[in-house]
Amino acid sequence: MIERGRRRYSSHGPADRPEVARVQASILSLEMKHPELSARKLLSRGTRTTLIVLLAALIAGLVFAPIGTLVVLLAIVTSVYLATMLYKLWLYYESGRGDPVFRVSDDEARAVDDAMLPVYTVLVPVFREPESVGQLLTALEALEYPRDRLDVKLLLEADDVPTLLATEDAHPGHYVEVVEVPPATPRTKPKALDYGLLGARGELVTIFDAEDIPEPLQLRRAAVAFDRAGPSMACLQARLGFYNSRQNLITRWFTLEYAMWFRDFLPGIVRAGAPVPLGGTSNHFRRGALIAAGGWDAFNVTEDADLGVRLARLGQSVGLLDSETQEEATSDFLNWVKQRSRWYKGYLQTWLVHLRKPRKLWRDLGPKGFVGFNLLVGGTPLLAVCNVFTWTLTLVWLVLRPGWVDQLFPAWIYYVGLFCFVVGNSIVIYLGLLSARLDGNHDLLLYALFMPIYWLMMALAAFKGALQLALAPSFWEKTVHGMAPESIIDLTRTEIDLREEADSVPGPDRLGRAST
Amino acid sequence: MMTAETVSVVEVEHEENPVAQPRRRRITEARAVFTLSLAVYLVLAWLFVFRYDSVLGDALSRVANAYYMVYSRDPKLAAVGFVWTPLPSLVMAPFLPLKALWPALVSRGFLANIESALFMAGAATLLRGILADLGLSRAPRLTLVMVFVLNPMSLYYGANGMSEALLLFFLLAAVLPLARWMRQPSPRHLVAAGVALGLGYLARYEAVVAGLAVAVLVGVVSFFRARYDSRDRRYVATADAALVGVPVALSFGLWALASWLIVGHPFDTFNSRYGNTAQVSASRQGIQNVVGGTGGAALEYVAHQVFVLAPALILVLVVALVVALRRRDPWIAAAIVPLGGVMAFQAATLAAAGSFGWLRFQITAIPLTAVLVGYLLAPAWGRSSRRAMLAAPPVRRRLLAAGSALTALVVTGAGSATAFAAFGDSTLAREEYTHITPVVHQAWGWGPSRRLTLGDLDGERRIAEYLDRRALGDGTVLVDVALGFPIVLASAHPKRFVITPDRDFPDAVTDPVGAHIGYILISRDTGTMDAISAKYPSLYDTGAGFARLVRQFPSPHGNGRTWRLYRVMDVRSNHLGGVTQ
Repeated sequence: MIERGRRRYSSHGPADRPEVARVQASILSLEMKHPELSARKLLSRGTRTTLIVLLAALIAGLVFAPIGTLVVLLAIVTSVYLATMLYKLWLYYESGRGDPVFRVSDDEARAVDDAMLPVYTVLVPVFREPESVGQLLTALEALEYPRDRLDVKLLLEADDVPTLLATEDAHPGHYVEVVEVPPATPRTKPKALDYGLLGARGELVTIFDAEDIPEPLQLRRAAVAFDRAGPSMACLQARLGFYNSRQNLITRWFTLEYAMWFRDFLPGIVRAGAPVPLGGTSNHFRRGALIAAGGWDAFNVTEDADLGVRLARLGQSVGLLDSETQEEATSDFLNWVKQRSRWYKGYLQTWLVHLRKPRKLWRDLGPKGFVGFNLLVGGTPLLAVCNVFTWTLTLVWLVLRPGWVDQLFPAWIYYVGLFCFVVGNSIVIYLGLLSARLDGNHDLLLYALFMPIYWLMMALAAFKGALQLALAPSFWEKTVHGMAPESIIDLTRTEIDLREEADSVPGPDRLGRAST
Repeated sequence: MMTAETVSVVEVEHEENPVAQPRRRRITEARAVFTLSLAVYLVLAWLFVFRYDSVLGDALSRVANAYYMVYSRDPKLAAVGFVWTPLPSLVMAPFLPLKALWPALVSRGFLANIESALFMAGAATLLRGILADLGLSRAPRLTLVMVFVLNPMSLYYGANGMSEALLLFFLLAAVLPLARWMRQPSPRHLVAAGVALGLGYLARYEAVVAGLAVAVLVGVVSFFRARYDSRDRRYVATADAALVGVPVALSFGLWALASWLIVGHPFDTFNSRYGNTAQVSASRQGIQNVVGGTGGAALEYVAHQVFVLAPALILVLVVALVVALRRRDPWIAAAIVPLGGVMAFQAATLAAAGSFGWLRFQITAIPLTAVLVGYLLAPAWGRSSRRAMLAAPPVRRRLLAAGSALTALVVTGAGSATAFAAFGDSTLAREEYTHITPVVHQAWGWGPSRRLTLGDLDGERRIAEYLDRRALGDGTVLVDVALGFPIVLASAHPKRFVITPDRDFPDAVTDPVGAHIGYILISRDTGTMDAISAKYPSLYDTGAGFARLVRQFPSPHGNGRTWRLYRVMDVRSNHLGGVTQ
């Protein structure tokens, strides 16, 4: 494609050959270091065997002793509900007892001599969002960090011509390098990040999304915090917030949820010694630790959460940084469901990958970490799926009072289940109110009260995510070998879907942040 | 107690606290208060129950409600009953199996006494925490706590297994964080206060009033404290009020929902034949005779009760209000609103003829006075006065502390004297008079006295022994446990009884023969409290045409119920007539 005499963008020229080798290396970076932790082949032989045995047992049970089997299932689900409820209460309690977040004041952040600051690599994967480039470059320009120590890499797909052109038009500063990632499957964000990491110069590395507006002192704060924390601290997660938080009902709920997660649960998770599922962007790494961990898993759709768990398994610390990056909240119902189902699917992937060798996981994470990992990463999507069934069952019981429900619930399951349903949900709603107040969202109190409707949306997304993972397990394997064009197309389409979510809000709304 | 640790944390935060002491020592003080007061209450409880056989029916019936959940023919959570609040019984439930080691825990309801002792000791510890938060120095602080612990009302209700101790505990558990919130507005304090009030509602219905009042108070204080533009202020105030109010609302709503789902009526205490409304209206004339009427007369009666429990309350309250207004300090509202709110509610229900007007309903006056006195004796909140106090020479400081302690002793100690004297007043302290005077007379050898209530449940225990000696099948003895609970508790075979919470109880009452009931236990003058005699008014006297008197059990000491055991005759298969006498 040649336009107005500009540089010719092509992805098939012979000059791309070294890049292709590099992109292969970046895709396989995790395979090289920790093949057992890669989601490339989602189901290991052990996992597959276990799943088949469990499934067979379930079917046999349902055929030969349907009531008994259902009772056992309900007992398991109820126990997990109870455990999760207690665990969340504990996390909340822990976050109230002490503050593990690294806080660096403006003065402290600015006090560091420029010459003492490490080189900082900022990776920004951009895909098919030419209209974001202007805002992105403005946000990057606002970062208070010596330019000679800033190594910004915009990771663009080499065949994404509109974005490439927009970037060239915007005349990025000399500290910004435009990296063209050769097209290759899987066309995912983690792959682009791994590719960018290959050329990173910084001692510290961070990631921003194209529509992110990081707080300008964030890099300096992170550098100071890393210095304070010492070499064992491999990663610092900054907080994420929304600049369109009051746009509509969904963004209001999303805002409440994010605030609760980043301000109340994550500090609790850190204090409770559980692995921190990193969130999307604004995670800051020591490059050495990141590379040693194998970088991002190009085959995991929540590569961030997976990386957090992997770092924990490798004995690295993950901390929290008091600094906020403003993002755009998904405001459209369908896009929200898509995004959320990807998260749930990714959590399930992460869960399956790390549970391949449960005993090893237990040794790596310790009992507290093991329990936390299972309840947070496995429990979140699984319970969200179960919610669909248990809520329906409760409704049926309340309205119709059929006799067969009594059979399924021996007294203790009944009481514990009822307790979880009534008291547990009440507690979660109440914690939502508390979070709204603690996190300065007190104007959203009423929305916090109606959070259960948002949980219904979550349940829907979890169902979609789980179904997608269950119906298309081979989906992932085929893409690796590159032998199934359809699945490649599928994958590409999925990725486009994901990226397009960010573009779904028309431009003017982004300016809304000035008034919020 | 968890309070000890949290108290010390807050103490440490106060800079230049004149009474700041090392953390360890504070924990020890709180623990000492808890342990010593617990020991006092337990010893008293033991004396009351085992030495003088003074067992309170209300306390014993809370053990019974827990007992039915586990040991009845039809064990289920709902057996706890919906007339009264469930928490006192739920707390006991896990400890019921200990009856295998010590049967009196259940048969004499000593579990309830242990429970009230624990919660009253907890209340004393919380009071200590509140006073320590005020920065009150040790001498007056411990004096106030000690006077509270040894107040005759605290002693009796800490020892006797009633739910007053739970009410005081949860109210003070709300006052402590609420008072902290007045000084340091973290929403987390409101959560603690809200949860305490929410649990308090499940212990005693009155707590709902405290919850409402506190929610309003928090909203108002938050609104005037917030330094935002007017819009945000309203949101913040609403959010704060919601945080403290929602747990109470949830307790209220969920308890009503459970009641509605299971017994078909959300507020059973107003509706049930066993509920407060039914009992009060059945005793209306008696109450009126004592109280002197409704409206103004009732309020006068309550004022008299409050005066004997805390003679200094009004004076202290007025002074504290003036001081607080001058200091522009809302702190005391954290104590006045919940504790006073309950008192006001009790006065209002009595004035509206909806209450028995027992002396114990005003028990919150005692800790309220202690907190107010503590507030007046503590250095004013703010740096300058604290600094002045630190700068004072040690002799003066010691004199000041001694003076404060003496003041505290005189002002609150007076209440102990008047309360004890009131126990001899059969109109002002009806329950206490009938239960405590005979014990005091016996203990101190004050000559012969009426037994009044001593051993009044002994007859029921003998009935249980009698039935235990017979070979009976499960589910063969029908009894309404609203009055018959001591029999079931004392029996070694609780499953033999068909009791009120059983799902087949109504059918068994309607058709005893069809339900294979062999025997019916029934007593005289049951009022509304017996579904069986309500169905068969002539059963006690004549057998109602289908039952034959087996045996009459008079009260062994003449102060309890007289019971009759009837044999159910199968009138359909043989027409012996069945009516003896």
